[in-house]
Order: sequence, then C-alpha cells, then structure tokens
Amino acid sequence: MSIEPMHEESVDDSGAEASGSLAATDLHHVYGRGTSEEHHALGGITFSMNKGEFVAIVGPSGCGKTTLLRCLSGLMAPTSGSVMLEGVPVESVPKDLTLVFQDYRRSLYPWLRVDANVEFPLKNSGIGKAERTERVRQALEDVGLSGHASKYPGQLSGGMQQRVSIARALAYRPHLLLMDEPFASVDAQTRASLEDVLLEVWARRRKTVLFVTHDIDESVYLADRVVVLSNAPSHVMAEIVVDIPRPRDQIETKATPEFVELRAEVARLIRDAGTGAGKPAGDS
Amino acid sequence: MTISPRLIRHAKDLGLQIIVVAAVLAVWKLGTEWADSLYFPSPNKVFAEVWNGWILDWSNTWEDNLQPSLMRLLSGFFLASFFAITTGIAIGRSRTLGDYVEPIIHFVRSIPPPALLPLFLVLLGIDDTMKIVLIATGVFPPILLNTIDGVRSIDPLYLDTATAYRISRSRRLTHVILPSAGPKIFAGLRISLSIAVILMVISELIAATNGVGFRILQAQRQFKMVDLWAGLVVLGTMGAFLNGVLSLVERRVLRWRRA
Repeated sequence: MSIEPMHEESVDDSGAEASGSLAATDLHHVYGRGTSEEHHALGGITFSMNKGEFVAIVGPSGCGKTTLLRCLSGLMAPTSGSVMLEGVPVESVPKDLTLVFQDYRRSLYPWLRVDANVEFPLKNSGIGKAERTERVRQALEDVGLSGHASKYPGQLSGGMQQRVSIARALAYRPHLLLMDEPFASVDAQTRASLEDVLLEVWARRRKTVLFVTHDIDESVYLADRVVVLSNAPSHVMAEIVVDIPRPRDQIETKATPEFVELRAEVARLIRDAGTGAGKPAGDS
Repeated sequence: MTISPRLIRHAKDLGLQIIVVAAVLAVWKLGTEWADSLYFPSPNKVFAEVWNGWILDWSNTWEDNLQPSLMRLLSGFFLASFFAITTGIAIGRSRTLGDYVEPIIHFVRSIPPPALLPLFLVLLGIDDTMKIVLIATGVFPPILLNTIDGVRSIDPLYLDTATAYRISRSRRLTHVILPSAGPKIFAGLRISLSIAVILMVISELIAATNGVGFRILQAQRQFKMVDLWAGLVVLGTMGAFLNGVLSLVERRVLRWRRA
C-alpha cells in the first residue's frame, strides 16, 4: 500500500489510455458563473484509470463528486479541462460508458417492467431480439433477480430496484461503468450484499468501474485504488492503492490490519480536507 | 365454505348502492304521483319510453340519434386530443415557447366554449364541421394545459438516464416523456370528455336535424314530456358509458401506477 501525492501523478495520454482507460486533466467546473450564487465545484481535477481497474472516489460531502461524474460521463461539459476515454475526448456520453445513479427510484422507468427496463437501452443499438433477451436474462441472473423479470419496479424493495439498475448497466455492456453513490440510499444490510454482488460481477465480467461514494469503508472495501478529493473547489488530494487481496469478505477483510489502517488513512485525509490542512502547497 | 371479509364488504357496498338507487326511484315515483304534473312524468313512463322509443327501435335510434352524436363527440375529442398532446409536448419541452404561448392559452381558456357557438355558426354554418370544431375547441385547452404540466414536471433523472444510455430523440419522446406525462394527460382527457358531451348537446340544441340533443329538443317542442325525460336518461347513460370506457383505457395504460 502506498500514498501518492497528486502532484507526482503525471498524466500520460499516450500509453495507458489506448488500452481503454479514462483520463481527466485539470477539470474545472463553476456553477452559475458571474452570478451571486457562483459556486466553484471542481478546482482542477486530474486523474486517470486503467482498463479493468476498480477505482473509488471519496471526499467530504458537497465536494463535487456528482459534478465530477457528470463531467466524466459527458452528461455535462466542464467549464474547462478535458476528459479522454481511450484517447478520444468525451463530449457527449460515449457508447461504451454508462452511469448508475444514486436515486434508483427516479432512474428506473416505473411504467416498464423489470425486464423491459433492462432491455430498454439495448433496443437503441440494433441488437437482435434473441441477443437482447439473453443479455437481459443474464444480467438479471447476475444480480440475483431472475424471478422478478415481469414485475414493475414499484413492486420491488429499494435494494432490489438498485439491483435492477445495475443489471440494466450490465446488460448494456459498457467498458466503463460510472456509479454515483449507488448504495447510499439503501439500508446497511442490503448495502453489504449489493457491494458483494457488484464485486462478484466486476470480477466475472471484467468491467472498469469508477465508484463514487462518501463512505470510507465502502471505498476501501471495493476498490483497487481510492482517489481522495478535497473540499470544493475540489482537487485530488491523494490516491491510495488498496492492495488487499481478492476475493474480499465483508467481515474478515474489514477486520484485517491492512483494511483498518487504510481506512484510517483515508479518514484522516478527508478530515484534513475539511480543515484545509490537506491542501498541497502551490495550489491556488 | 368460508367467505372472505373483502367479499362481504363488496357485497355490502353493492347492496347499499342498490338500496340508494331504489330509494331515489321510489321518491321520484311517489313525488310524481303526488304532484300529478305533466312536466314530471313518473319513472315507469320514462323508462317505458326509453325501452319502447329508444331500445326497441334501435336501428332508427342508432342512425338518427346516437350515431350522429357519437360521431361528432368522438371526432372532436380525438382531433383535439391529438393536437393538444403534440403541441403540449412541444410547449412543455421548450421554456421559451411556453413563455410566449402560455398567456394566450390562458386567455382562450377563459372564454366559455359555448360562447363561441354564434361565431362558429357564422363562420362554419350549421353542419357537422361546425359541431366538431366547437367540441374540439372546447376540449383542447384542458388537454393542452395538462400535457404541458405533465411534460414540465418530468423528473430530470429520467432524461439523464436516457442520455446516459444514448436513447434516441424519438424513443425518448415516445418511451420516456410521453409515459411519464401520461397520468396528467389522462386527467386532462377526463375533464375534456365531460366538456365534449356538454358541447355536443349544446350544438345539437341550436342547429341540428339529428342527434340525441336534437331529439330532446324535438320532444320539448312537441310537448312530449315523457320523451324529453327519456332523452335525458339516455344522455346520462351515454356519458357514463363513455366515462367508463375512458377509465378502462386509463387503467390499462397506466396500470404500472398501481404497482
């Protein structure tokens, strides 16, 4: 395990990205520019991730995590800076990327049954009926919802609904999956099981996952690498490599000294971010 | 054999409803017998006339009264629905368009539709065209305003989700925006259906040679009070039937809401 201060991170935009990675360079975003409510959310974020990697982004609440994800996904254009996916600038949502939103209740379409929700994005891309059905079946099986295909989202519990939205993302088969605090609004029990569902699917399907969370335990438990953001206007304070072996276990992994130490490290960084002590010299 | 409490409650409700209807009919009957007025025939006579004059003579009834009325009503209703929903979506999706158009809509909506009848008589004559246009005009604003409202209040996350999955513009319209505005649109359709029935009757009272409204007017002119009352009963039945059909369609289309 190691802690790399952000300014030693160099953005290599030739080698790593060609293999299917995401790189953000000096992202700035300002809301309501020129108005009295001007808010500088992103203050120059630079980081990159490799194909197949599971990266978690944590930061104090209100630090612009959702803004960052919206900029990375192409849902929103940053005020300045660039996002490259596989060496191509991201201007709108790219084909091999998708998002899982925090608020599953408003992200699934309540008028479509579970299987239709999962199938909905596939109908756009010219995939044949048989292939679509197979993908839906497999995705629902992956998240353990095979028996609920013909229910409406409203008939499912919150945790099951979020599993449907994960299944929808899986069936879409993006290379890169961006997740915006996907488990923040489910209870602790469901959350732990969803984390394991995600890890298992990630291991099996070899996705690249960028997982935004405000939960330090969750970030360390899930990720290969934790990117810690500062308060808004946020920048990357540190990147912490989590070299805890996989498969990980909710109880045993979380009891290991490595886990405890890493969690403390991240927690300290976030606390320092709150007091401003984490600001690197030269940042203006 | 056990009977579920739910079934018992339903049976009770049904029983009560029957009792209320029976009571109303009894009061009607006793009242008319007591008053012995030419203007208030007893329910026996009225329902006998509905049976003999309308139902037993079905082919004429259908051809001269029901079919013309329904044709006008449904033409106006569907015409207005189509244009109101399409323009409503356009206005609801565009803030600027809405800002320009909305004051006009609210002004037009404030004109009671029957007041347009004299104008339409001059412009369009007394044909079915006039009646259909009158019905469509009166029915248009509630559907339009409800559609605009429904489209405006669509959850932004529904649209973000569609963007995240690169859903095409046309599918976004038909599969995301339209269904999510569906409940509000149906609320507009329900209001509009009652307005359509009202305008249909009014137009047939002023200028028509057939239709249910015309038959009621004719009965009044010939001083056939029983026929007049029978016409009202038919009209009520027709309105209830149309409402029932719309409710069925709504329940079917919006069945996900009960999930």
